[in-house]
Amino acid sequence: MEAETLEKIIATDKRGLFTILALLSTIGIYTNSTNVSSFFVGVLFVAIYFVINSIFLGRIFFQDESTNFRVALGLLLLFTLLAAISGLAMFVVALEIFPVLFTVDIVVTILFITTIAVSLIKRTQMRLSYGHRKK
Amino acid sequence: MPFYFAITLLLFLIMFLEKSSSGTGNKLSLVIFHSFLTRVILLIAFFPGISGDPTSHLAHERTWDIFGRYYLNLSPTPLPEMQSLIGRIYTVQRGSVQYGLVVSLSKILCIDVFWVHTVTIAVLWSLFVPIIAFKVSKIVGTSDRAALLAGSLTASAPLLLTWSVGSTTNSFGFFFFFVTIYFLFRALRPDAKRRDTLLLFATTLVVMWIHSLTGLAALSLILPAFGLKKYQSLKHASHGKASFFMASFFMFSCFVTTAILPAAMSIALTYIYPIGAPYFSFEKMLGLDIYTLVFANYASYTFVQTIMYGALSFLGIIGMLIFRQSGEKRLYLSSLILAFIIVNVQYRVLLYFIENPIFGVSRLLVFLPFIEAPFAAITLDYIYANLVAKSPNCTEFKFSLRNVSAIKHKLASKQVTAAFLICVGLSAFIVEGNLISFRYIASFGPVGTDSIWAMDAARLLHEDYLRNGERYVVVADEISWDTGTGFVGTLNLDECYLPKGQNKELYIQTLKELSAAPLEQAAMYNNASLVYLMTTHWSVERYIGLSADYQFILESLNKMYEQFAVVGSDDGQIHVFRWEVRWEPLEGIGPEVSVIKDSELTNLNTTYSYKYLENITYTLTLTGASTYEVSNWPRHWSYEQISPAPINLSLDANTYINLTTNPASTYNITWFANEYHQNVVWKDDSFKSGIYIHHGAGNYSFASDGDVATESVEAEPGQYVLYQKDLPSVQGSSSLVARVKGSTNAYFAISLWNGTGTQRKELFYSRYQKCTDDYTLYVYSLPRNTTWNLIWLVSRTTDGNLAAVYWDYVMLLQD
Repeated sequence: MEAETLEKIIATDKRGLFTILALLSTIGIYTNSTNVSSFFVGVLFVAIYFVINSIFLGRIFFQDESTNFRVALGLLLLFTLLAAISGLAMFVVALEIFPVLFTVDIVVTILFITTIAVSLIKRTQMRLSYGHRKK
Repeated sequence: MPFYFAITLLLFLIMFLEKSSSGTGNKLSLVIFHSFLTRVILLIAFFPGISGDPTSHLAHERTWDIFGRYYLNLSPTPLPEMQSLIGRIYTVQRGSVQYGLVVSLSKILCIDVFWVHTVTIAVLWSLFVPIIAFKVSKIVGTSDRAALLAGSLTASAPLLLTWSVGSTTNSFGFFFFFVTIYFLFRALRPDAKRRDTLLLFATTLVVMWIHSLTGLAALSLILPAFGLKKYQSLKHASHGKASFFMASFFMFSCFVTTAILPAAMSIALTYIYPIGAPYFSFEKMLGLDIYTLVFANYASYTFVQTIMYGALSFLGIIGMLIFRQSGEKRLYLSSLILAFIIVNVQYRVLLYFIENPIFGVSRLLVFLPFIEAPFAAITLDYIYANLVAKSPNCTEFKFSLRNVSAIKHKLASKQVTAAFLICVGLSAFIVEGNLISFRYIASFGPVGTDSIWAMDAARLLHEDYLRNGERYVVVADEISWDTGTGFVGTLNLDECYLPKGQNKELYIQTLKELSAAPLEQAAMYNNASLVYLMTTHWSVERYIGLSADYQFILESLNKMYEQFAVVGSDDGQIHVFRWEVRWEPLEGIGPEVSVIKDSELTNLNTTYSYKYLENITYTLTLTGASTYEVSNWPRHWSYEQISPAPINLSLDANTYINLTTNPASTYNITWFANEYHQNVVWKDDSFKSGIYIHHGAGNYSFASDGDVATESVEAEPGQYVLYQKDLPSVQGSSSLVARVKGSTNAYFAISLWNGTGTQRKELFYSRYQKCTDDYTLYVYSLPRNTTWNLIWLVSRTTDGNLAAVYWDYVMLLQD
């Protein structure tokens, strides 16, 4: 299967299977971090997570680009997003207003919420563009 | 490097000579591969990492990883900048984007923070910088070849190389600044959607958050760009109004980014953060020489540096002049050119007028390659396309088939040669850029990069901690310290590396005084039960001076502490010593001394009290008699005091203490002793006899109370007084020990001489040392197998006022 086809399948998935897969990968990441601590397992789950969400973000923000650039720029955006949200979480933790620590729980929560948010935006966008096409 | 050169040459040859347009994606992949290769070489060369800021960030990330808390929140003493809410907000937000990304990736990938920290910026840079440079170039309307060249030049610009692997907030800021350029162009498109503007806005916020400098540069790019866009729309209605708007907006952008925001930051820093804030001054400009005023950074460059750092600018400016576009593409080009001008203006303003800038002024120049590289690529593409690739029409030579093929062949080989030369030049440019980076880091000597051996040493300490669970503190040379903090984190109170300044102070003190007192002080920081001392040869030379005898220092440390490990070899070899802290002193019965008590000879026991063997207090308690004559105490003891003060006291701290007392009172005589200094060959503890003047300036004197000699001088600043004493041909001594204190304006020195009369030679000179307020023990190693016949005791005034040096004792020791 070509990369373009795979990107198209993931990006146009209406049933949310790949969103579920991304969410399952966050569970995998959490399990690995807290119990297994395997680099290989970690890389596998993170790769699944990053591929799906990069494709989603690429579709949302860089629809006019070719497939490769779309995925690459989506990946860049995902890194930016992860950095910014994690930074914000660290900032809140560092203020010590709430009795929380920056642990793997928080990181996985960030990944989880990011996936849901990205998926929702993508679905809304798909619905809108479908509506436009219908009109 | 030859391999890297060959790969680079091949990359450029493919870029220039491979004709198919369908291969652009593949060529871009090669550019990305080359970009990765560049970073891999740099990471290997700088392994385990550039010292200083990058490791300090690693240490903060490590603290986040271990404790899930911000490092300053672990400080045992409250810090002033963390007291107010604004101060706290300002302090904790710094670096949090980088820390967030690195720590999160480390946790989810299950890779140690060190590796994630080391490779994150390198990976981001290698992968995305060529892509963004390619996209930016394509947006402004260049050819595929120019866009690929832009990708390669931006990824490997000499000025950016060290930043691309040094994992600091500034590096992340530079990277995201470049991302902003692409997002800006997307937002400037006529068909731009709201999400493009949102993306630009969000990225700008992130860039500003990552580092204020990169935020300012991003604003310098964005503000004029939107000003230009507005100008283009106004131009259709009224050209004059549009021009006025553009001029005002340009001035406003310059003013905001070069004056208002830095001034606001400066004011904020003054009140929030405990560092010297920058300020505006005309005097700075007057202090610059004409070359710096005109050529700025180029004034201090070598010829090669000028070419390496100036080539992109030169080609970039040509590109700005020759490349013409219309419509929206013109807007993109003009935005980049305006940003180029504003960054240069900012740099000149900082260089000429800002005193005490919070970062190196030249750091602003790092933004320029991002802007210049696409234009430099345009110039190179232009040169190739117009001067090399454009071949004359060959049809006129058709009359002879043989001639045509010969001429074609000649032209083709000429083109290939020219292209080859351009590619060789570009490859040399990139390889030399790497070499300049290596040389730059190497110019810092052993403190340029962290040490692999220091990592091993830190690991050994950590493993020891995991085994015995004893809290420890480390006093170490600056690279062992730097590397160690990266290993256990900043302010990890269980495995503690002291704050940088404190560590350096205590490390130097430990080496100079060869005393456990600084280590005890270190242990107080985190209530440690173990103190580790890590020392290296280069650090001893750096802090104590080239004359320092490292072997002697190691031998002394070996006597005092347990040698825990020796890691590495050569100059960077690390000796790790372990010392168990004793918080409560040990007490017991000490040696006897002879006492004539009201004319009756008796031997009385002393008592001792010590925490470490280098500082034992012996006490003799006397009661019930009216006169005492005390003698025969061990030679390495140094008389300290009698408490309470007797009615009469006659004292020679070398041999006797005679006192008249009240029989009803109890008197305590105390001595200080260093048990490592028992093998005394010669000692003077009283300075009562044999001292005579050799040289004196102004008013000077030398007086002894039988215990301490006071040598004073009041003369022109820098003048000195020198008293000397003949020695009884002392042989076999290996070290000189002196216990000295003095006034704050006093320096002291000691020298030892061999021979007499005209044959006399000075074979040891301690160099001048500043006196401390409290008595301090100074230990010097001596040349072996020498007979000493004379000692000089020198005191110097630094400011012309009365300077006094108090000599408690001077002695020569055997091994």
